[in-house]
Amino acid sequence: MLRDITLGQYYNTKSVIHNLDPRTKILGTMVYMVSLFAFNSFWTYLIAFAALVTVIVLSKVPVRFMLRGMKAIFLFLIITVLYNLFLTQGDTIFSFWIFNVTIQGLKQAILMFFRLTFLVVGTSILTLTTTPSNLTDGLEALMYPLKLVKVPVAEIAMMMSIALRFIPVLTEETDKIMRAQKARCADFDSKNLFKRIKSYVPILVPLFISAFRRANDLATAMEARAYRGGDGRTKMKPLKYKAGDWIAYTSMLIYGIAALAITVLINFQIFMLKA
Amino acid sequence: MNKLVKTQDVTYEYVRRDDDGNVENIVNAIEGINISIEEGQMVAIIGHNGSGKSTLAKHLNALLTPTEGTVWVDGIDTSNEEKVWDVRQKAGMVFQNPDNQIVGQVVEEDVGFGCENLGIKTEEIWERVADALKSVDMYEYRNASPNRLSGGQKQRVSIAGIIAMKPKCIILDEPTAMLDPRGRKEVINAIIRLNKEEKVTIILITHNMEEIIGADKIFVMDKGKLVMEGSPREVFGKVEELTEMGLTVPEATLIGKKLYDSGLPISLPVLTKEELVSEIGRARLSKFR
Amino acid sequence: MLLIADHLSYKYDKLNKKNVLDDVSFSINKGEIVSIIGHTGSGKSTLIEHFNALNTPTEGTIYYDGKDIFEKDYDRKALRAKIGLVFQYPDHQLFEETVYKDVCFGPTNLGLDKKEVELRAYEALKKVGVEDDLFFTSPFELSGGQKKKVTIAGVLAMKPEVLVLDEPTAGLDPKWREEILNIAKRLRDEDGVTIILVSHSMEDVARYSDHIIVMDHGKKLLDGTVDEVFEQAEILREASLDIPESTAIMRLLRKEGYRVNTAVYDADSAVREIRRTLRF
Repeated sequence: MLRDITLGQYYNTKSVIHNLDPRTKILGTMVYMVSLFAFNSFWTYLIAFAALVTVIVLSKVPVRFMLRGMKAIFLFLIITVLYNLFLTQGDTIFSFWIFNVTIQGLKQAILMFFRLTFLVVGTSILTLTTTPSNLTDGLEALMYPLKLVKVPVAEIAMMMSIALRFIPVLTEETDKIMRAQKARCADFDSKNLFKRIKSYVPILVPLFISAFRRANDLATAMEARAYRGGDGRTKMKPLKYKAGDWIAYTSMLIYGIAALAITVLINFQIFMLKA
Repeated sequence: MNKLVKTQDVTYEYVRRDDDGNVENIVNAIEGINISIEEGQMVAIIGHNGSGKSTLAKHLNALLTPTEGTVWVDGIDTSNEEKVWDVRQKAGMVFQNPDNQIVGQVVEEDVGFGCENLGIKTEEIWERVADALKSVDMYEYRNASPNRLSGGQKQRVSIAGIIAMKPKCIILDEPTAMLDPRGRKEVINAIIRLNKEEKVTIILITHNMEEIIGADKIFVMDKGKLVMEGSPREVFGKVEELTEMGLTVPEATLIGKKLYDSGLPISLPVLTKEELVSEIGRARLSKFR
Repeated sequence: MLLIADHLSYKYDKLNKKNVLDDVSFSINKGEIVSIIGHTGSGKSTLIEHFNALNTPTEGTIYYDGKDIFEKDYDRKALRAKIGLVFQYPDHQLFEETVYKDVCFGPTNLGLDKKEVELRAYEALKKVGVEDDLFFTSPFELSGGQKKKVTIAGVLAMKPEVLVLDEPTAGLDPKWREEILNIAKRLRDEDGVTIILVSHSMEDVARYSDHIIVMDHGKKLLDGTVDEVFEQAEILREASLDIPESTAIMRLLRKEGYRVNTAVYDADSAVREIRRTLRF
């Protein structure tokens, strides 16, 4: 049923990862992403892999849920790998037709493959273990400094939250409108692209009108409940760091230092070898 | 008793403009309305679509302010812009469409929304939310997603969201119009309970006459004017006038009236089935003795 | 028999064990006004969307005019013209700039020529009683009752043999409710269109139907004439449904010892029945 669609893809196992503060998880994900781009040797990727596996195990979320995200970028992944494999200049291993596979290309392709995989799996852990409303709260808190430059952070977070609330409602509504038009023999499967685009007008018009009405109603209802922007509001669920968060930050620090140390060590070796 | 809501000669002009923004005509959505509602009462406003009842309701919590006249809520003039938020805290409003007034992604977060806006401390919000949800019998759904609730449950969540703001009165603008009979009963029972047990003043706008038989007072609107006011017995006694305005009366009232017109000496008006049956019994005895 | 549901079952997806429809069988005759009642979630909306193949059953099938509509090469697009379905909210259907254009949408989709489309749209709008001066206004500016008429015309323009109306009177005031239901009755009486009505209003159902099907938890609970169904007040109550208020009053009188007939569904018949019993 359409109303069962939950955006994001929260999967609750009540694990230690689920219990972390959203800020910790968002920052952790960011540290991880940066590390993947900043350090790109075999050994740092081995650590990145180990870190990922640890978090997956701790989160108790079945791995197949994380690989789901891979489906969406599968094509992109293949293209990136092939691009790197065939179009990197360097020492040729073998070649056929117009393609030249080089040792550097092979390395680069493997690197890109793991980088993207780690990225996608890493970020899907964030969305799998954090509810959308928690995620918006976390983002709001982390964006707080932007308030100094007059960015309406609280309002943006409110907008995100409302959008998340109404996506299932509008998805269901789209389905109903589609059925109402199908009942009048509307055809949405035309092979002709132009006709097909045109066939969506009877869906889009009612949908937009409804969305605007809902927005209008909701604005009135919010006003009636004394909403006047972010200033002066308190929070029912304020974010609070717990012991687990400090352990997580410590682990992040250790991970960062380890990756940095290895990189420095490798570079030092290369430098020594060259010297 | 204390007058909680009072209006004096309230008129609201609605300016209709053509495509170029020129004034086409000015319509009085409501005109010269004088009502007063006492604390703890349950009152109903009825009238057919376009009679101005929703416009009037929106004046009672400062979503609209009168073009002419004055509205006081708990002694505060709603036109006083500095006090608008006090008015909205004192007079909460529940709307017709259950989907278009729930903000939160989780039931308890939605109920807490109003309190957050009022700047209430976290611990107190939790207490208020729990109490409010219990008062409409929705506590066990506190962690549910609003999208999975029935219409009646969504409306009760909306009511809880207002209750948590500790208002003196709740205005409900056709809260049952989009619900099925079961949802209607749930919502009406919750409203009646709030009035009886928590002493919350209720202003109910509705089409469904069966819902307001127990009201303390009924206001009848037609073409932007207040045309009748009184107890359900006084109002439903005027079956012909109501029918002329396109309004119905409870079925028992209608049958009672028709029996009376055809010669059965029952005392009018009859409001409930039970009353009708006992009236028929009494009339039969007196007639055929 | 025009339409037969034969052991119809439906699930949203295969993993979900819950049946939205569970082994539902019934038949509807040509020219009947049939009401399907049940509270929200009883499966009635899912059921009517099977009639014109918007839903496909998990098990069982539907026969229309003697043919299995879920057979592989059955023309389901043509079926949607024959079994017209009007959804509850007009706002889900209306999209064109003018009322007239919107009504033309259905017949245009049938591939008819322009003249035929326009004629049908005109006839349909006339049939439901939309005034000429509204033809070229925007459908979004109409009142709720007018919008409802236009959506019914939008389906009628396809010349359906069966008209399915999903809660046609929801949100309308008494005057409009009567007007809309009379359109349905007129279509049956004058043009022989079979009417299937989904409604929450027991009064409306009792007044207009020949035959009632009661749904509860995806199953068919009751199936019979108005009298047969409303006699079962206890069963209806278990399915969170009521009986018409007049019927309830007559039942109460009967309980008090008056020998009234309880098969009464509106105020006027109730008055007549009470006068007959009390002899005045």
